[in-house]
Amino acid sequence: MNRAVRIFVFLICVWSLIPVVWCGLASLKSSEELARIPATLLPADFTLQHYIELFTRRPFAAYYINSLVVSSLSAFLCVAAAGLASYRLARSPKRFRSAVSSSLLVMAFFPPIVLLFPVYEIIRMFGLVNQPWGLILPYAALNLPFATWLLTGYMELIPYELEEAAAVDGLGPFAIFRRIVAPLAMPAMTSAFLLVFIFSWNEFMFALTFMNLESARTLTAGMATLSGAFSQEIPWGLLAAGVMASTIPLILAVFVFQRKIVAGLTAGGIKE
Amino acid sequence: MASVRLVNISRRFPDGSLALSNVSLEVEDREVVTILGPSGCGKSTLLRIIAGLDHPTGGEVWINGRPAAGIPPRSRDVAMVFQSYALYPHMNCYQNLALNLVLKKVPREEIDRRVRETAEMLEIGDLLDKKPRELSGGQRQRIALGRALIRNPQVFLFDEPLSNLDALLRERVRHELKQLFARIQATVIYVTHDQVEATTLADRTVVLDRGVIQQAGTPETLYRMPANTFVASFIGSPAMNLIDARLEAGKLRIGERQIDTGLDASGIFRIGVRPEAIRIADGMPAKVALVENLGARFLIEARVDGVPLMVLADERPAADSLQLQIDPKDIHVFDKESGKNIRSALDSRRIHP
Repeated sequence: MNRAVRIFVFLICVWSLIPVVWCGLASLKSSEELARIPATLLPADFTLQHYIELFTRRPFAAYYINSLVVSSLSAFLCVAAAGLASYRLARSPKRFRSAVSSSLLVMAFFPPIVLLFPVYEIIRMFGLVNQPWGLILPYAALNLPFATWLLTGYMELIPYELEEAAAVDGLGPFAIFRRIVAPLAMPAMTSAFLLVFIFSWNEFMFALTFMNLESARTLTAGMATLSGAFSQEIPWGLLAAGVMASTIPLILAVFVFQRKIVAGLTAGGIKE
Repeated sequence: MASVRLVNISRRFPDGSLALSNVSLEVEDREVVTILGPSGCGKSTLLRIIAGLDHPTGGEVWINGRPAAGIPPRSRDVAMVFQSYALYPHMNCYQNLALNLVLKKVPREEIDRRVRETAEMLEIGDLLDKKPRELSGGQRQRIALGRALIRNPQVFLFDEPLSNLDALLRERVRHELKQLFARIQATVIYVTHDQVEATTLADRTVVLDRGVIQQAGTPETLYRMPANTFVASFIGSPAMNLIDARLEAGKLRIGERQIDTGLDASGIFRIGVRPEAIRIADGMPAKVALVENLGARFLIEARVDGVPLMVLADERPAADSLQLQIDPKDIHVFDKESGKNIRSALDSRRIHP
């Protein structure tokens, strides 16, 4: 990489980070300082008051737990189903496989909003409104095509001879998947899990529509109601703190698993 | 240990190609049978059918006196060593060896004992904690072998287990396998394209070409009495000389000399003579076209009246012309059309005292 490109990349990074940093700094300022003109860059009187308020005066802890439960269960369910589906698909005749793969990709790009009302009707019919399963099942289903597509590419790389060796060694079809294929596909399954987790964590539209009770809301839907709770003014500090508090766990998770995500997404590019 | 019986096995692939055609073979208990053939001859398919990984489109497989149809690979009690070794990459060597026993719910102490025992026999004791990717080709080969040995199965299947090793190592492992087979007294079916492996390891060798058994017999029989030109050219190194020539009342004419083959036949035949069966002694005059140094011996390309003949000699020829002698009993006569050895019908012991 030459110098000019490096500077360009650096500038892009700074450009993208400015809103996040601004938001982070704002969350640490007092409400009085936030309203001050001219605005300050660094917090003059540093305070954690907004964060405390999130968890004491607002049910932020409940949002957290809801988001965590919904995101991890939907990601788990989605990857478990996609793992089995993609394994079978990867071992299908090539023609069938490529036809299914491309239709999966088409479905993955389907805008979820067109499904909002039909899905709501189904969720209501099963009495799952305000229940975690009311979000877990749609999230898992919405991500299934993409996750299956992603995993199929990886599963194809697992040598068939390993499965034959396992079959001769005494494993049945499901044991082969559980003991041989799934462990070997773990990098791809981890990245699929994280991508679905992130989608579910960030999803807003379904969460807002299906969860009416304060106690059932996830972080995104809960955040949207933060400003509405105060009639006179927009609680900038509280919003900033909410944004930071809901984003930081995700950023940490991505940092921790970054290597695996990249490995999963680029698998197939290079033969080992 | 057990016997394996194949009855009229055929395998047609979905694309219509016939991989195996009417293959019948009986492998006795504790017999080592090698299946030899060029790539694509169907030998691996045959092995996979015995293992239950592939299914015949016709015929039956019997293992230990019982039909194997419908029995999945995991219940056949056969162990297979794959060409690529197919070691489980996410397990260490100990786990690779132990998997089958773990599945059989063998007590932990016994698994441990058998893993150590197998590891000791194959001298892989210090590799047990390692993952396959940390091992060299030869070490992986041993682990793959150990994974089969530890099971003490009815039948061992080997699918070209040495072809991924370099030449020196291959020779050593081949030697060790020979000793191992003698020690474990197992029923072994061993597929290879290497005739040296096939003949050194086997009690009996089956030569397969285009899905059809060309000949089955002891390595000595295949060498001395090849059933057809395919077996004749596939067994033996350097390869047998095969030339078209006319027989007149059983007399073969090469150059100015006539050799009586002892057959009562006339016409054009394909004549086979092994390079090592041709002696340099008073006989047919020949010209030296090329000399290859094989180390211990010399391979001479000689020409008798323009007909090329490979001759294996102990010494480099002194001049560029020499005299060759062929014993009539070393002459193989094959039908020109079918390639069949026309002496096969006769008693081999009468021709080769």
